[in-house]
Amino acid sequence: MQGLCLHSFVMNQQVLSIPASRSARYRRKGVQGVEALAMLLPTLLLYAALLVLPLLIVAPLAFDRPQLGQLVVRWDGSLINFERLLASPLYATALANSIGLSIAATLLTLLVGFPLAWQLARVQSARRINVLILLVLAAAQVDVVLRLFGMVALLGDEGTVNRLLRASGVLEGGLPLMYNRLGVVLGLVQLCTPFMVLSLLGALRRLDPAIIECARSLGAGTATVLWRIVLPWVRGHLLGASLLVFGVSMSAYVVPAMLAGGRVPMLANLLYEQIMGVGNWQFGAALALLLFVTACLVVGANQYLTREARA
Amino acid sequence: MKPQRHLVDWALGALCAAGWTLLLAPVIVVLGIALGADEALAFPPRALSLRWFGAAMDSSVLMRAMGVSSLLALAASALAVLLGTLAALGAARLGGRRATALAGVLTAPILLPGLVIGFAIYVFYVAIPVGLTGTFTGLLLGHTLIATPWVVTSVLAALHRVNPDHAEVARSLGAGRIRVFWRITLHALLPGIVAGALLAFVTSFAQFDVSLFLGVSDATPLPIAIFTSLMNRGEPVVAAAGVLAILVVVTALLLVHLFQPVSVLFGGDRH
Repeated sequence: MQGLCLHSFVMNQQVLSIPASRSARYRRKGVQGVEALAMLLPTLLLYAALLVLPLLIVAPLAFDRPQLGQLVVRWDGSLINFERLLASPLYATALANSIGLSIAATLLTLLVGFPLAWQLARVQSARRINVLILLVLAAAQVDVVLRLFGMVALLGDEGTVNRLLRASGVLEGGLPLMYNRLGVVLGLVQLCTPFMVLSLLGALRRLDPAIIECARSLGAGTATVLWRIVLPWVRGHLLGASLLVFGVSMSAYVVPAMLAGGRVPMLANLLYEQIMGVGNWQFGAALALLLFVTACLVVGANQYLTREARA
Repeated sequence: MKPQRHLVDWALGALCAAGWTLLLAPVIVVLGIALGADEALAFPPRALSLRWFGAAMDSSVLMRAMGVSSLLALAASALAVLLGTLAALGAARLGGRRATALAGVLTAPILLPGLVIGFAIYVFYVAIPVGLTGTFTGLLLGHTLIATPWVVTSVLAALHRVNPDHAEVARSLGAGRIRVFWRITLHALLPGIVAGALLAFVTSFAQFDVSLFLGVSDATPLPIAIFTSLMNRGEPVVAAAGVLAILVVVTALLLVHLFQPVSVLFGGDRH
């Protein structure tokens, strides 16, 4: 989850537009290229070994018939793993949970993240905005497990919220806020909101306040300003960030583990169990391929949308 | 128009309040549990005490995990600085469209979910038996992978702010290439490198997802240790160790802010 904040970092730094190197005029073009490649090589090798090569193994493995404990590609070309995912009620539930809860979490993250970003964007004082960004950043970078631990202490049957409800006599029985889908969605929203805020903040701060002043002086209310000016302005960022939130939620492991205690299984939990518990690499590979492809599509679409928004 | 405006403003305010609560309440709750005297995981605590911090310090499991995470994050950020700075300088040297594409390649993979990244690395270790499965080195390589993009981004951003005339002046005054690099370029890049290194450190130190598949039997990083202990039996002593980890992260972020204001790094402000 922490990695997502890199996205807002990249966008705000505009590092993706690199001017042609000025030292180029001193040396011949060929030497320049060779040197540059030599400098890039260690990092590219690390990426290739740890990300690209595994995908080349996982992709064909997903189409092999299950053979416990065997991680050798046999090129069976069978769809049995995917059929199993859809046919078995348990696995189909996990798939439905992953898709449904991720959509719910994405929408809720938008609903909470956009107003927060909008509030932050209108802060004038440099000192205040730095403090607020540091707060959001800290909330984003603190260990995911600790944040969910706090959520468990808040939402559990004996948690703060339920004890307050019972003590105040509002609800004698308390509310089931955990060990169900609601708990999972709340956990996902907790994890993803800081990222959504940071993603929108830069774009919102670049929106000229004079435009909004102008609209207001012409009689536009907050709703009109948001709908006609602010939302169109950040549409690319909004869509891009939502896609990333969806992608990350799809492969959430800790949230269902901690906030639902195994009662709301999602694809990532299934993947971990299949690999570490059962040793079914083929079925695991099929699940991983699904998550991998989803993530790659989402990241690709995000890069496209943010390039559009930048241009 | 008037009544609608009031309603919308009110709704936005309520959503903001809900948002801040959702963001900060869990962290405050962990803090409260760690500072409480109770045996149970109750917030707010009935009495305050530092006993759980003492217990955390005495717990060999938690302190060892803290040591592992610190070492791991230090090593990963050091490697990330080396790889990331070189890669950023290399990409900038190519210049133009190729560099832009490369910068995208260098930063995009980290947008993949951590669990997917961790699984991919695990597949590599198991499929190509070079003795990295379940080792500290294997875990370290994984963390280096997710730490490097922070340094790449930070250095590329710093490169935008380097005035190329300075290097040209130095060269025209007779400075050699290596001298120009050490005295001019690196000097100008240093705040960017440090900020990137600190963000890389934080990413590795608080990393759960990538570490999950790369378990090391005798060197468990803190987030995994906390998860395991919470899944077995939640105890306030774990919250105390967590608070120590939160302090490390917050300190690192404050240091980042010292080198590069966060409103510039994350808020879209110009230098």
